Amino acid sequence: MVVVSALVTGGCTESLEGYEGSVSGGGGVSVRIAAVRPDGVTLGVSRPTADAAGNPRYVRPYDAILKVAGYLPQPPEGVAESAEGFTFTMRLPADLVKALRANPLDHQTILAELILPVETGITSFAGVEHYAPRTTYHQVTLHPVYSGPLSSAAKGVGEWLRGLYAAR
Amino acid sequence: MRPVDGIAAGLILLTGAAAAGELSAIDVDAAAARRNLAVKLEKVVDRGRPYLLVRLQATDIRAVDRSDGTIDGVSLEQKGLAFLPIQVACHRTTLLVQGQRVMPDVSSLCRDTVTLAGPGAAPLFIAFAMPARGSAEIVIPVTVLPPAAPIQTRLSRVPVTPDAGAAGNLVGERSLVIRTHVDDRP
Repeated sequence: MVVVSALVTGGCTESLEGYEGSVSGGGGVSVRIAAVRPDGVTLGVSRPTADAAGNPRYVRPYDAILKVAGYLPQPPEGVAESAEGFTFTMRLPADLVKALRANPLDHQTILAELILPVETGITSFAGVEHYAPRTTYHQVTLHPVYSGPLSSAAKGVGEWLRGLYAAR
Repeated sequence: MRPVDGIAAGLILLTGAAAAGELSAIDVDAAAARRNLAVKLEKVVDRGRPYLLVRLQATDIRAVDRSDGTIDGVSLEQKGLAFLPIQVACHRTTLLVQGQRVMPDVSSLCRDTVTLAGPGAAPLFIAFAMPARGSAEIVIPVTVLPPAAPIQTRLSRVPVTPDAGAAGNLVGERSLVIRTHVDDRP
């Protein structure tokens, strides 16, 4: 009873800090998680290399879509371009973030589909470049990260157990 | 599993998030597949409000009639068929429910006429305020265009023309009608 009430009390004081996660899939386009915040994730995309036929490929980050099952698809909130590629911030569905904040003990994993348009440039014999549409699909997996007494205690216990295991 | 996960999982009965609900699309598959389209309907939520989300996606599979009257799905590339570009009038898409016509919600990502130029085009999303329980019909105005001419990367004496025969009677303005049944499941 004491443990349950401590968990409930502790659970109420846990706050959502961000996410740990990964991006997989992609059809030759490399996407990584560049930054996280409680209500969104910033993704980095490297400029893609040419396809097998040597045609250049162009990422269209402004048209990217993040789709979490059960929620409306989200367009990018902002896009920044650099020499290496692009970073764009995708906001997570507000209802999902609200549920994560309300249930810190329910460590659900978020599986989202990142839809990223990538066009292939095909140059005709006349020197005109035509764009063939292609879309790459990536799976974004996010684990919520919380801070608070429970998370700290669990982290401490985990480190202690790891220490015991190492000293064995 | 991270330590905090183990503790929570061991002591607390976890309550999962509401599972995403997909709705069955009735009578649409063949009509859409003849035009290289895949359709998916999903119940979604945004800021506490429920929506019916329509996802339209171009594919490289086309439904064709077989001699025995059944329908077969064939790969465009394998059969040497040309993809038929499709203009989808997202803003003119309607949801008919209990005799009432509902227009797409402002939260739709697709709000204009968009052309799916190839099988690799990004999917389109059209959202409607969730209709009441019962039968519903989604009418999507589409215009199927003749296949685009292949891009000539080398000068050739033989003109490259699109395979107009493959287009058949699919080219032109059509309405894709999707019938579904909205239920109470989350």
